[in-house]
Amino acid sequence: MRPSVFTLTFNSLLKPFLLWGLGLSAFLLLVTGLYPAIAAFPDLADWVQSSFHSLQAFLGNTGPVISPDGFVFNLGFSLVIPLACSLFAILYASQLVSTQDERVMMELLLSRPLPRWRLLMEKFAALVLDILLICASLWALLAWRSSVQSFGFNLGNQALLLLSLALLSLCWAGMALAIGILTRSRVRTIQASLGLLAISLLLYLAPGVSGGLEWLRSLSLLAYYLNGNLLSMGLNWGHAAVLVALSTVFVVTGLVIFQNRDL
Amino acid sequence: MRHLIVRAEKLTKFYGPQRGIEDLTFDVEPGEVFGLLGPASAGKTTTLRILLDLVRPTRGSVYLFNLDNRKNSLLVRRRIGYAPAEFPPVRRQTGRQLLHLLASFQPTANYSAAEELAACLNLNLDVPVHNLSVGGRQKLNLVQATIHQPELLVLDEPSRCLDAEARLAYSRWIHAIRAEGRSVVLATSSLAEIERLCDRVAILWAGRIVSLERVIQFKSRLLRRVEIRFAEQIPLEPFMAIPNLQDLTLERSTLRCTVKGDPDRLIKTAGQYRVSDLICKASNIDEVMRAYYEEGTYAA
Repeated sequence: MRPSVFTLTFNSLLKPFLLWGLGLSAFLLLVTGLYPAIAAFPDLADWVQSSFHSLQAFLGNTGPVISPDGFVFNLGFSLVIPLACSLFAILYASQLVSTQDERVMMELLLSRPLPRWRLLMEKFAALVLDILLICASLWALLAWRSSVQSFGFNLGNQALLLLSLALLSLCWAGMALAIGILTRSRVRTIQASLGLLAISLLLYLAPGVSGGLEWLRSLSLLAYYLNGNLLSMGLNWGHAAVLVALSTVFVVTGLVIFQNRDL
Repeated sequence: MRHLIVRAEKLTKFYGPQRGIEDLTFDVEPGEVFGLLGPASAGKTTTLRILLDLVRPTRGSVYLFNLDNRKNSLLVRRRIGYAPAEFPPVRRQTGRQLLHLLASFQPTANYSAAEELAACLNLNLDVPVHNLSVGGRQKLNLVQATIHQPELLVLDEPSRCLDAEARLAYSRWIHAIRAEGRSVVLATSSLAEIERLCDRVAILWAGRIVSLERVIQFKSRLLRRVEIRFAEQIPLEPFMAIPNLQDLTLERSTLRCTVKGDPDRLIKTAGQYRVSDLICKASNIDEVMRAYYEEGTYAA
């Protein structure tokens, strides 16, 4: 492979990418493996359905739990996997420009005739590829499980679900990148981004605690990912556009700051 | 217009309220080795980073090859080789692979010159970077700076962590660069490096230039602590007549003194007696700064 900032960054992210990818795949494998066992026992299925009923008061209507796509979506894609992917995006976007080692490397690279915007974009593109590969591997796993166990998932909707997940993760990555450029500290970037993730989660869950606060959800990034059961309903393109627009705003803001700041 | 490689005018950088450098004005001519000498936090690295457009000055301007270094940043950086003070601990890449990466941004990369320098420095380019010793990484740092045969080399503490043999090769390399008509700006806190390699030196203290002079003038200010052991008792009077000796003492047959500048008269006077041992210790950067302070050159 031709050496570039992109390949250098991709190589440095290889280990965490494999670990997170394997971890999420293992979790999804467990979830898809559990469904046939639960569906086989009506009492257990009823208990699971009623347990999720109270959770759905917080998450919004994510569809029936006891169906192949409902089970996988509610257990995996409603909260655990998006939060894990967001965390991955934050942790590794925060290290792109704000660790000491990265600063030293950037000093060496930018002493070359390399524009700052290109350096930043190549680094970010490597992270975007990692996120897309994680989502693609989850899609492949879903497709495989669907064919093996005849779950009857819609492959197109699966792809759209994973696209929505990738967009959510990109949004967090863009935000962490911009904060990292601004603060120049990985620790402060992670603290600030995780704080915003927690606030986003609270804003999304708050209407479940108290009625009449539905508008709060629109302030949460999660609202633009969670929109009913995406596995059966497909993607809300308007929400996807919001995620794309926000990602772009974060990355462009980071880029402008990076172009004008001291290294 | 006079062709200058570097022209820095009233260069000032404040980090918030803290002064990095203030009102630095200097130039570097073709074929010149220019030294920035100063203790830690004097502003040497900030100055070099401004030259490379890595740090933006609060005030002042820099022209490299008669081009504004901010407006023509990419153009200018094609013609500069930079060895930063720290070298990144790159993982999973050999020195050669890293050189290929860095060379990919330079249209005029020339591996043979880099490999020649690596051989002179006794550096194996096929060892993974993270397995290199600190000295090995510093050698690689110097090699990567020269991969495109730059017209100007900007080196930050270049001889730090180099072993004696590598220092010698490095000195020869700098002399060869000067002989080719290329220029070097090097920042160091080593007086010996300035004496050995530079044509002119700017002495920095707390972000300001306290002196900008030719190295030959600079040498005349240097202090050396000398201890001469004689094989016999000697009189002190002949040594007292030497004007550039300070702190002169004679204890039994051991003479101790501090020589400022040229040691010729001391050596000739001592040569009249039988010398059994001679120890000479060059002054350090703090002593040089103190000397400037006492002369009233330095104003904070």
